[in-house]
Amino acid sequence: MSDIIKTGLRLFIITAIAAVCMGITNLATKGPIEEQRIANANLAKQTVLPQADEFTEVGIMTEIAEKESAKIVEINAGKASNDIVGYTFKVITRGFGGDMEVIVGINSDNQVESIQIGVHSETPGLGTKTQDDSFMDQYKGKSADNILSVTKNSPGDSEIQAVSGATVTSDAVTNGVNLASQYYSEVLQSGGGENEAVKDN
Amino acid sequence: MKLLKIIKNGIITENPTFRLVLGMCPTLAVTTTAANGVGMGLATAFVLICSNLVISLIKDFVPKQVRIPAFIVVAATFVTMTGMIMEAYVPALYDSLGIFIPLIVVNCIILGRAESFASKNTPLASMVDGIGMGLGFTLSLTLLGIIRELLGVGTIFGIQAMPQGYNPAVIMILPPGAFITLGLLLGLLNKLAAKAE
Repeated sequence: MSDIIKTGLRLFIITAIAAVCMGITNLATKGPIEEQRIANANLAKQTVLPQADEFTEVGIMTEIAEKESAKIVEINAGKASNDIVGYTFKVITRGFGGDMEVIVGINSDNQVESIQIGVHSETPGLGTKTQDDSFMDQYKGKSADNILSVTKNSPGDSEIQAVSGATVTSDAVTNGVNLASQYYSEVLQSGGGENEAVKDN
Repeated sequence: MKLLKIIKNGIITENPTFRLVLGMCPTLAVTTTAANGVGMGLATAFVLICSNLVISLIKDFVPKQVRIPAFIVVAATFVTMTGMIMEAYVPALYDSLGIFIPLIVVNCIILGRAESFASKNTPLASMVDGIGMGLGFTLSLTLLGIIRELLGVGTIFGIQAMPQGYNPAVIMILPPGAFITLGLLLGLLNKLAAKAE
């Protein structure tokens, strides 16, 4: 009996010390980690909509923002000297390896400004090639009124050339961009988002 | 001299990947590129050195019956702390290694070395064993990564290494390529070892 207590007590001491070590580390790193994440999120927004210098989060109308293939999880209005110059969309779409984050910027000229790929688990060397500029730049300047489709060769005006060997990932990114475009045309283009749904933060 | 022998033991005699065949999950999963192999190897080496040292220090305090949970707690603590510190202060490194860090907890090299070496040897020798095993693991993973990246993408560490006309064998960077490469390398090295003996 005393053996069990002794053994349990020693294991408890080890785990307690481990917990204290992790607790202290967490306390010390929580602030910097939070700052890193915010900085990263801002950087992504800034990259897809460079003309904006301030972002405010906008409410989402879920019935339009959620589709089977993709889902908008965050929308920000980008402002430059208090005028809205466009919107950034964070879209979760279904890639080859699971959920994939696509950040889309649409400017007030009704065009896709630029896109970024966020957290994903695509195949290295195949799906990850959708992060290359040569693939992502294809979306630049596409009209938000068009539904884009993916093709394997010689893309037309509203077509995107798939990364060879990674059609599923290319499709996923395109679905994400399409959803953002669609939401923009249906809800935000007329200024709806600006008046009704701006959240204070 | 004895310490040098421990390092050589980790890299060649008891190479974790090719001789002990330990830690196969990360070996198969992350060696799609040479850089991934180096990253996973070095992250594991770091945790291995720390956990070996601590386990060797507390080996007389840990009751025999609960040594396995105690070792896992030590390894998991280091993994968690490493992850948090990296994300907070070296975000660039965390971006490229971040996904490997949690994988280290379930890497049986850590537990294997704790059980068979650190719990029976001095702290210094245990740290050196961590260095040797860590280096052996890193070199093996890098070798696998180089072969798979070269054949599957045509590059090494992201630099074009195959002639322009080379059509990459995509299967090499997919899961089957991992098994094929590892199997052939294991066979080859076993043959070489048998000859040497």
